Amino acid sequence: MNRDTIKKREISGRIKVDRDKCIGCLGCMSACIVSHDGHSPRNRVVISSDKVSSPIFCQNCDLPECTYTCMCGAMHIDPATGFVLYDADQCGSCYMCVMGCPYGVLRMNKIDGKISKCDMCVSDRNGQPQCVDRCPMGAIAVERGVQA
Amino acid sequence: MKKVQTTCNYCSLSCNLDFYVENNEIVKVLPTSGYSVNDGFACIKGLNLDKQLTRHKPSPQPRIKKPDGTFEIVSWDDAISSTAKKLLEIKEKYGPESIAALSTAQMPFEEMALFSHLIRGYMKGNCDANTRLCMATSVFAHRGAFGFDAPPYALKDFEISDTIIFIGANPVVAHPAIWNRVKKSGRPERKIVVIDPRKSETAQQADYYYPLKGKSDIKLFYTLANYLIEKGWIDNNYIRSYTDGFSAFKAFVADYKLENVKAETGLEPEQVKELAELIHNGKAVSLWWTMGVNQGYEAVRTAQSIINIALMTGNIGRPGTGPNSLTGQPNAMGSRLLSNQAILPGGGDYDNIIRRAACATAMGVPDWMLPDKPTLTYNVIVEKINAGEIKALWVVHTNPRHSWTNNETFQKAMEKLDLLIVNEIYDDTDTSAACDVFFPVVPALKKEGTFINTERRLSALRPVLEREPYEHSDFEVFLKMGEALGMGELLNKWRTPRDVFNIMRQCTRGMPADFTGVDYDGIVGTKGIQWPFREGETLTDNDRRLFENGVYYTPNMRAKFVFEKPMADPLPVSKEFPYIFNTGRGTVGQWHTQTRTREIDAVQDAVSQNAYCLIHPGLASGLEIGEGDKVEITSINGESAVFEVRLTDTVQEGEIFAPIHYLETNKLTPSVYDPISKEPSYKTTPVNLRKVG
Repeated sequence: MNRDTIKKREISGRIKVDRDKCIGCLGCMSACIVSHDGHSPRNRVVISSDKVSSPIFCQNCDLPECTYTCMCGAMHIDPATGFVLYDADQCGSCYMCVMGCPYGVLRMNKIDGKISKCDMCVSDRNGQPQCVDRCPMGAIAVERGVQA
Repeated sequence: MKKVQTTCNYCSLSCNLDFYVENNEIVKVLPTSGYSVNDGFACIKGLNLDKQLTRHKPSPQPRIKKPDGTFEIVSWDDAISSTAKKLLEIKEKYGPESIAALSTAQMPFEEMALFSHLIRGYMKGNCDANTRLCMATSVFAHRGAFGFDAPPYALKDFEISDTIIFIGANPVVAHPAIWNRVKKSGRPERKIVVIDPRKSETAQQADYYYPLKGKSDIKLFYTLANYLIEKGWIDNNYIRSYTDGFSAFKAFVADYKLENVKAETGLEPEQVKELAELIHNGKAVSLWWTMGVNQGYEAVRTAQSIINIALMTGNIGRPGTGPNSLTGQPNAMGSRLLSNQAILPGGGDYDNIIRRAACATAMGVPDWMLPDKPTLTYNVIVEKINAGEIKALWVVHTNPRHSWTNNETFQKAMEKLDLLIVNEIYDDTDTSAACDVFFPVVPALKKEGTFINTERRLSALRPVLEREPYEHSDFEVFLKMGEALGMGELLNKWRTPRDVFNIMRQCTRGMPADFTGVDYDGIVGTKGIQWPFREGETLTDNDRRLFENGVYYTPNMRAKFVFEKPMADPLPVSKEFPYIFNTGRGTVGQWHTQTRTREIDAVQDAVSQNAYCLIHPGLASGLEIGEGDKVEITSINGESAVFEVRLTDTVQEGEIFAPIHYLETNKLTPSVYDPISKEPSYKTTPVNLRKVG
């Protein structure tokens, strides 16, 4: 995918975090592991230089570097939802997306060597991101109808 | 790929986890779906148990400190025989009570029982456990009120209760799977109440929050009791039918007037009235406490003041009710019931002839092998080491150099000992790093046995991974040591964890915690079973609570109101030490002294590497302290330590809070204990502070 050819798109939702509410409990990471069958979590939490817990989630970027750097089309924009989705079957495990992600949130999945990429829990039986459901502090929400 | 269901050995919930294993490597970890406690959810610690011993892995053979202070790896046979020889020499020279041990609630109860069989039974030394640091208070509170150490609830009560009151408890951080159940129940009429000096993470989510002064909860509950009585909001039928001592209690609390409550607790009379109304209007009120209550200088009476509220309002023995103590460690209940430290295995005092006979028969030993008194308590063991009376100490899966209150006293103790033995999975903890004999034992992922969780549920621990050459379990170390000490046929019935399970099961026969109906292998792969579960019984309900029939374990089968005039604070704040130093758990990902959770990258990325404290902006501005500054906190115990500052209005102006996961924190806590339980008073230390950077 060429970044010059990408069109503006509607995204069904984007994870939004209120850092002031985050307590660094890592419940979002646990939820992610559980809802993705024990695979490496698709999010992470770091402690910032100002000592604040800072959750990092895939932003389904307006201009997603992971899709530009992907040489196999594994990282792609889903036309129905606007989400950046990942097709492991097409992935060549070159990890260019990992290097390209400006948030450093993509990582290798420890189980199969592919990529752990947030899919907004589209495959979860509960139907919405489990990090949102499991956050005890209400720090994580889905911002709906985002124009990218 | 093989799937093994086993028990998580971090916190007291003892969640079950499924480990998927291929070629003796863990591929993934998932919470066991349908398991009673955590049904498909687990916190970040449990889900990362596969990281254990991946970064820090000692030699699988023992390490001995040589006379010149250097270390040497030796064979198991040599280490056990030389250590046994030294233990016997010390016993011969200084007497049996010169030998002591500090055990743990982090291992299967079969191992605890075997360990006490050696130390308490055969060697006639003393053996306490780290449960003294967290749950001893609840043990004595239950025994006084119910006649037996019996937490009455099922965790399912969280889903049923319409009024959940947390007292000195912070399940959002300490028991995430429980909080998940509270949230999941989603009952719109449910009220969540938090009573805590600190606006904890749970308090921030509560419908009602009462920020009382530290250690004033006993006065709050006496005042609350008096107000409930005055309003007639009590259950006279329950009191009359099932309890003793209410008249005296009523007369006693009459002195606790609303007009005094502000001065005594910091709460307004209207807040107490509101709390009373919440209890009165609730159909199923539950009161839950943990360390905020247990770790105090009059903690037993405080816990009993909570029990009194439940008894007088009839909030016990029904779904969604109860005065409920949440434990801290995965096998605290196993330790309390079966470790042969404060009571005979299964219950009963050491002078109870009938119980002694039952236990001796079950254990296959003569009566002399049973101790004749409770162990010296943790604090006395440390004091006697420093007094030169105890010469040898065996520490098992606990890190007292870090976790013991006023922890510099334990450093002195380590230096004073002739022999310090440590069983650990790591050779570099604050306690194991310089010990004389280090036994590198395998983690729970390679062991078998049984855990009893906070709601009395037995669950199976089964090996996830196969052992590598030379690796030993604690059970094998204890067994070999017993043989080397000359126990001979006294170990005949104690050859395997299964043997010891069956011995312990027999010890509970006819007792309140009778689990003679539980089979060692039968609970593998199940949802676990709560005690009591007697031989011949059929399990029809796996979320059971006690006292539904109003029958208690006291001699007259009635619950007791236990109360006492509150004592004066043994360490009040002063001009020299004007602030209160409070301690507790910092984050979900950090476990106790961080020996294990340091191996989890996800946790290490998210937590501070340095000791820090929470200070109110109002206090900080007066002292010209800013966010990120370093302060030296000086304690009334004579010690001082440096912490990074985080400013927050979740602590009161005169209070400083520090997480327990850093060595500095318990450097400052005092050598003060509840007079009954001997649990340390970790929560209210007078301190001063100054900016140092």
